[in-house]
Amino acid sequence: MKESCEIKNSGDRASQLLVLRKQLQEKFPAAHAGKASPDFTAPPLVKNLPVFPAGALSELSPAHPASGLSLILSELLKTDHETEIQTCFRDDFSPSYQSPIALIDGRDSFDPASYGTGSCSRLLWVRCRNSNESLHCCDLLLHDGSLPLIVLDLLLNPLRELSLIPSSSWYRLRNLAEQTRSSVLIFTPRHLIPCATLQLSLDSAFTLSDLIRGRDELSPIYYHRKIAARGS
Amino acid sequence: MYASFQVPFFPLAVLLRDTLPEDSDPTALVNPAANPSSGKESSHSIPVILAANHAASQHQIIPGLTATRALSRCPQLALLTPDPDAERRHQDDLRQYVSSLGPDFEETAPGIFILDLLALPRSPGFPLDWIEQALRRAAPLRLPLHLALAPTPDLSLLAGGSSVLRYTLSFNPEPLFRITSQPTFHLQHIASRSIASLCSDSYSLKLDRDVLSLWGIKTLGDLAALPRQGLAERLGSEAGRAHDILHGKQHRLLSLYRPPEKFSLYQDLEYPLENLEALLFSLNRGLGTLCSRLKSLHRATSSIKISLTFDDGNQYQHRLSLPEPSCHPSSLLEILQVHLETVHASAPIIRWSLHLTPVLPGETQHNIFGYSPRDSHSLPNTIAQLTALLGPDRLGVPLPLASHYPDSFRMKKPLLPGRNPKPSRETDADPTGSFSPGDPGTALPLSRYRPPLPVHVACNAGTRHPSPLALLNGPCPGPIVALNGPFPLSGNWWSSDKSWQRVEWDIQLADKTLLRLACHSPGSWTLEGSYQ
Repeated sequence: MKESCEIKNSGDRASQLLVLRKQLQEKFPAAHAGKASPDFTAPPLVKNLPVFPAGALSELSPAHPASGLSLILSELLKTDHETEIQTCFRDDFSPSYQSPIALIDGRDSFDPASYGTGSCSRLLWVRCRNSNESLHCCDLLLHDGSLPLIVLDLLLNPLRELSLIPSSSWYRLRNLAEQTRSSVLIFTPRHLIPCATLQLSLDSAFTLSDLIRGRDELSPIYYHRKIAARGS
Repeated sequence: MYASFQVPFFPLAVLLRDTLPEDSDPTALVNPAANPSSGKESSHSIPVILAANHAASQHQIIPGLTATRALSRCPQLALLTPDPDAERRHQDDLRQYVSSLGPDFEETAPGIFILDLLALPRSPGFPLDWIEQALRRAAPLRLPLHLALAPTPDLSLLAGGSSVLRYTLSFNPEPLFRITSQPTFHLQHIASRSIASLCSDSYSLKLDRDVLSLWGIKTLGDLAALPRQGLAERLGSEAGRAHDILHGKQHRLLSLYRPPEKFSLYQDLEYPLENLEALLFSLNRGLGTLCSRLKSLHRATSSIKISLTFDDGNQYQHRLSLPEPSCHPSSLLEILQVHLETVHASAPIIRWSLHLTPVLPGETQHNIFGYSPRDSHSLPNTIAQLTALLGPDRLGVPLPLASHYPDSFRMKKPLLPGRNPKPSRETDADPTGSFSPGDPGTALPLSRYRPPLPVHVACNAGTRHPSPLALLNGPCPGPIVALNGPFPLSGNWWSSDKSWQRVEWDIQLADKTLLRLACHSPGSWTLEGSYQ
């Protein structure tokens, strides 16, 4: 390359990789024709919320016990007109406040009172008892393809149970998500999904004193563990 | 050529069936007046005579007279109120009778039919022989009948009101047939009739009779003699239309009666069916037949009613509503299959029946910029499969209840595609509750343990509410480094068997795990959930 690569001195391997990819696309656009690349460098359109890729699995795991993973779900369920959640790659439509969200609850732990009536009104709550049921339900909903966003909550499922899930099951779900262009967010106690396009670790450590603050004041901190290019 | 069939004063004729006209007492039909006890209102607050029989008419009892005045003219007048059920039954009988005479007829009004004679075969004795046969066929109805022929539908109605032009069936008590001496319609035969005869609902005309009366135009003959153009210029298009009717220039089309199609099918099986695949194969054929009937009439179905009869005599019935009208057999079969997989048959099936509700095919334009499902039938199907997998009340939209009792909510039916209402910020739960579920309470949402986990807690019993010090067992044993509380809760205190109370604490352990702990009674602690 004639131009020297300008690598940001951010000390973040993921950021460097993104910059390199972007420069390669600009240099060789024909080679990347038809392959839209994720624009993870774009600022999130909603406060506290990263950009989730459409047609892919995104895995979110807590680095600490009270890391604020439920705040992500709370933000997704918000019904303000200003709160529009856009996912990149999804250029056919933008899910708005009208789009229903499916929550596959691995251990039936969702608390409606914590989210309010308005947030619950756009939720399709699937109350499962174990991880097998959860995967089965996720498979059915992905086959249907009617719901643009599916949240699979396996946070409270025992780690022993989750580690018995074969990798092929995750690849299968990823392929289904690619076919139907649905976004699947998976909450896991630790990173378990090898084929997740996006893996985020929530680094917040909220304490008891944070419980009495306003929800809008809390902002979960997350970092990208992995950002995979499309098709990888 | 058209034939009109009119039962004079149909509501009264229904009530006075089989009553000899000469021997009957003066009887009149009166509209049902307002009855305060029933709460129903009548269009007339004062009872008004609607029709009168021959004996009453001889006492100058005419329609429009108030009941009081009628009674003053004829104290022995019997007043009857209409019987809608009897009228409906006799209207059905009349319809059946007219349909036996020809296929193309119009049900103009209660007791009034117009038959198109164009499609009827013309025998040498037509129309007199045909009229005689028609009247004889009407005899079992035991209702007086006027039959008249005319070149247009409206003229046939006018001819039916003329004693000169109509053929009559009456009863004394044997059927009496009267044949008119003027079989051919001519305007002069109805010229002497009042203009009011054109103002009935059958013609949908609005004539200014007051103006016509001032001009001295009181009969149909007077109206027909006026020049059409001048009449229309002065009184409008309605008067011109009335002129055309009288001269036979308005030849309207009949609103043909078509019997409602039934989209039902049943099959008595030659041998009992024991498995679902065989039943679905049989149902598929039935659905194909019904859907082709729907398509031929440009209809779709909005619901399927299936009923199964088992070998032991039991029956199973269920109605399935469709998210959108459809007439595709494959889609309907898929919906039936998902439902039948959840049905437990007590014995082999010996008969099935299907009924589809016909509706107009829906045309829905979904939001252009909003959420629209790929296939409106697939999501309800998927929801049915999920319900079958998980069980009842495990799938839906959660609705927090306006109650202080923790974890109180109910499940609403899942969302349907294209019907996502704007989320309401107000609670639609118990309107009497002042608690607003919209207020989450804590900044971090709670993840509940269902059921709550019983734990042993070391606590400080010196205070009013024992303060927890450490969790001795459970998923997260360990000392409690910080706590918020106590938060006492109680409810239903007015009921001895439903009252409850508890004390909750938000606790933090050494590894920064945040939990919610509840004390139900001294020594009974549960872990309600964790803050994620």
